[in-house]
Amino acid sequence: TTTKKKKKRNIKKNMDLMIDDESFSLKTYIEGYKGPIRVKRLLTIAKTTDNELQQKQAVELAVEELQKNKNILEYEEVIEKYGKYGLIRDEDWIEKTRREHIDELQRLEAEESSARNNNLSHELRAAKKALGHFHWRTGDSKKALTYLMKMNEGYSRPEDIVEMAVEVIQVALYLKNYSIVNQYVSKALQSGEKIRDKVTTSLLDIATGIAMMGNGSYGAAAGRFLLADIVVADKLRTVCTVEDVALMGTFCALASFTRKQLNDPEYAVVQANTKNQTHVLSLLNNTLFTNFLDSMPEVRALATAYFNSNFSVVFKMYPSLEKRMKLGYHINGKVQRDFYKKAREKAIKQYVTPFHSVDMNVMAPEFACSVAALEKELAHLIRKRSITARIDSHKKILYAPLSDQRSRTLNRIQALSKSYVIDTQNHLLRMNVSKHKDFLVNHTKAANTTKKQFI
Amino acid sequence: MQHLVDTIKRKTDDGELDKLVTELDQNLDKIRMSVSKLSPRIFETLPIANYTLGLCYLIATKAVIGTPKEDTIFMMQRILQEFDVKQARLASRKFGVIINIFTKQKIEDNQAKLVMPLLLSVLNKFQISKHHLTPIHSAYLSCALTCKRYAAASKLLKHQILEIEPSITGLTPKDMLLFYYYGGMVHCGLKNWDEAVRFFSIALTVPAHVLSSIVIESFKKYLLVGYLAEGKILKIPKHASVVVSRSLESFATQYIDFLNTLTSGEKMGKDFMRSTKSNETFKKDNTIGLTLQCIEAKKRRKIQELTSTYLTIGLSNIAELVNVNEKEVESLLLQMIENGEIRATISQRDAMVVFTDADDQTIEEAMKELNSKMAEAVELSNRMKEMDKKSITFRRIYMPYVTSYR
Repeated sequence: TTTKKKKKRNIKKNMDLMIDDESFSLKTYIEGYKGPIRVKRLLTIAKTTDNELQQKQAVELAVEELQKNKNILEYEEVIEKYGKYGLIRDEDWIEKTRREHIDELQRLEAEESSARNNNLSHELRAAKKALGHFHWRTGDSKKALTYLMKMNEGYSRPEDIVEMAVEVIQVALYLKNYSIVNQYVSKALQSGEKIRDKVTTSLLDIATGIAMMGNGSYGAAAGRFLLADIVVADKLRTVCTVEDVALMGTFCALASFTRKQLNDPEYAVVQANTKNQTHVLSLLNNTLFTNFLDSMPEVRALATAYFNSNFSVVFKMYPSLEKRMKLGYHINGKVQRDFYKKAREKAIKQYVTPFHSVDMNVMAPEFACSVAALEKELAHLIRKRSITARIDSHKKILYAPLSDQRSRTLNRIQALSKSYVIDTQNHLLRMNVSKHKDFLVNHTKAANTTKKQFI
Repeated sequence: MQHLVDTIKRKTDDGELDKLVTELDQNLDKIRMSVSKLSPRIFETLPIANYTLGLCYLIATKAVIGTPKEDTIFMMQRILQEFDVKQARLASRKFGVIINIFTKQKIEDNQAKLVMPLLLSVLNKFQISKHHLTPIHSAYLSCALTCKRYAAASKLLKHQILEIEPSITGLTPKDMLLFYYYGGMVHCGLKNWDEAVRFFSIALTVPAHVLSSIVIESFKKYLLVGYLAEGKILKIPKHASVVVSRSLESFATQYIDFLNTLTSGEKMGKDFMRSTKSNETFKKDNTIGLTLQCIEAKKRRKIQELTSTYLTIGLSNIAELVNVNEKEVESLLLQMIENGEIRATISQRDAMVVFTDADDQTIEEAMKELNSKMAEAVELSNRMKEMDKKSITFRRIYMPYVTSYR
């Protein structure tokens, strides 16, 4: 137990490091990503952070990246937006890069047309891919998508389809276009190729997970994330990092899984996408996902505490992890709020179920809120029928209901018999009325016009 | 005129009542031209009990022309008192006309109360069964409503209407609409909201090719009473004719807006009540009473919801949740406890309310009620079987589909 305690303290220290000493972690944080997503991440951080120092650093790093990518358009935008940090447009660089840009584009387009004219399908594909990447890097991601989606003009083997799908998905996730993501994931899965490559399957799973999360289906999303294999870590860097997957997977699970599903290896959540394998898929007892959780031990700690009903720990740790979530690109405000709301509701349910009566004065500090706020929350949940209980507002106790099944059943039978009789009578009347085909409300004899008249 | 009287006399004496009906129907114009001279002296030549059929035609035709004068009213009254059932049923349409005009006139002359016993005796005599609807039903109800005799009206409404037979009873669709509209109003007066909803909804489902103003008024009340009965905005019944369901909502926009505000969960201040009271549409439709009751009902409903969430709750808390000021809360709760709408005890010292659970109904009471309901249900299903036999399954055109005979 002493070693456990030590671990907890260390974890907390690391977290504090992350939040307060941001300048240190920002660089290493961004190193985890590859490609144009770095810029997007840095700009998101710059937009959401209130720490001026952090913002300045993010902007500077972003400008550096943009210059590396030779992305003139976004470079100009960023400089203009964050001019207060004393960044000036490097006109020489812009000129030079513009010329380079034109040269490169011409070269790539020439390669493409030559490959097309000489009917070299393999080279044509490579050229299109190169053009796609070029445009993505230099800021025209929509054009990049069009090139990548047309990568397989003409005959294509199943493995080509999968490759194209992977390329498209990367850009689609960058653009947060989840419908394209879903489209191309199914294209890849239906290509007929048995995808044996764990990297590709994990990538597809994570992509699907992100799309589902964006659409609010947290349970399904969690099921997807939990299938991921750590080997995808490197390829994944153009989309997100291993830490991000750990975060997203855990919070989706906490928002939607039952307690059994969190831990019990028997409760498989979803079948694997390859038909010959089924994995063990709970959150905590998962041979694959545990590697992801290693990268963020505080997330694992949170999930374990949640499972063990140690809610005071959970809600104490939650705010700092929320900060970490805010940096994330795919977890937007609504998703964050949903996570919190759903996880909290389930936590309350889990807390209350085993008891006959619960003292709200004891419960409130566990859930990091005042007794009055807790009472309001509980009343709301009771009205929503999430929990069945009744509140004694005087003594501040929550009582489990006494099950009086007999009177409940009697009431239901009485209501049913009454409604049966009434409905049958109404039915009989209607049938008898419709028997007389001419018995209906009609125009009066005086109404010879075609307008509808009132009788 | 004389010719008509002779025809009536001859045909009736010969027992050729059907032929008489046909002949009279063909000569309606002639009748219309001759009835101006009609007077109570006709009863000397044509005693009512023997010549009801012919007399119905004559008197009904006279009554429709302009406003009935005193002797016409007298003639109508005599017919209603002495008619022969068989002949009246053959002249059912005209009989219905007499009833409607007679009742309308009596109401205008403030004699509705006096007329009610007469109408009741006519009904008992004329009716085919307690389950058939006749024009007399709606006439009786309109009298009862005018003089606010709800108890008498509800006695009539106790019998379930299950059938109509327009050719024998002279029922017109308008009569049916009026019956269900008036019936709903009676139940409103007695605060039987569930029954009122039922009556208004039947009015909405009468088959129609044209929208009737009776249906529109029924709909407005249907919405309000539906809120009082079930706490939500009811939809138009799906059995309503297309014409009705399509255009009805546009005639009741004020009501739908009103109910939307009530159900939206927003806090309503005194302004809302004031604006409702002075609302022009509600004033014109005479529905201010119902709308104010709806506003009241909202508070009561909220309190009832509280009984399932809380065991004990402070008075100030209730006041806040239900949007009532604190002094009103206690009196409102007392009212509700006395009405039996909630079961609770108020502790003034702690300013707390404790909600108690219902006493469990004893098994014997419950079984008694269930048995009576089951008897009703069995009787109904027997009726259904009869109907099925008569009009559906064994009809010639369906036989090939029911049996394997092709």
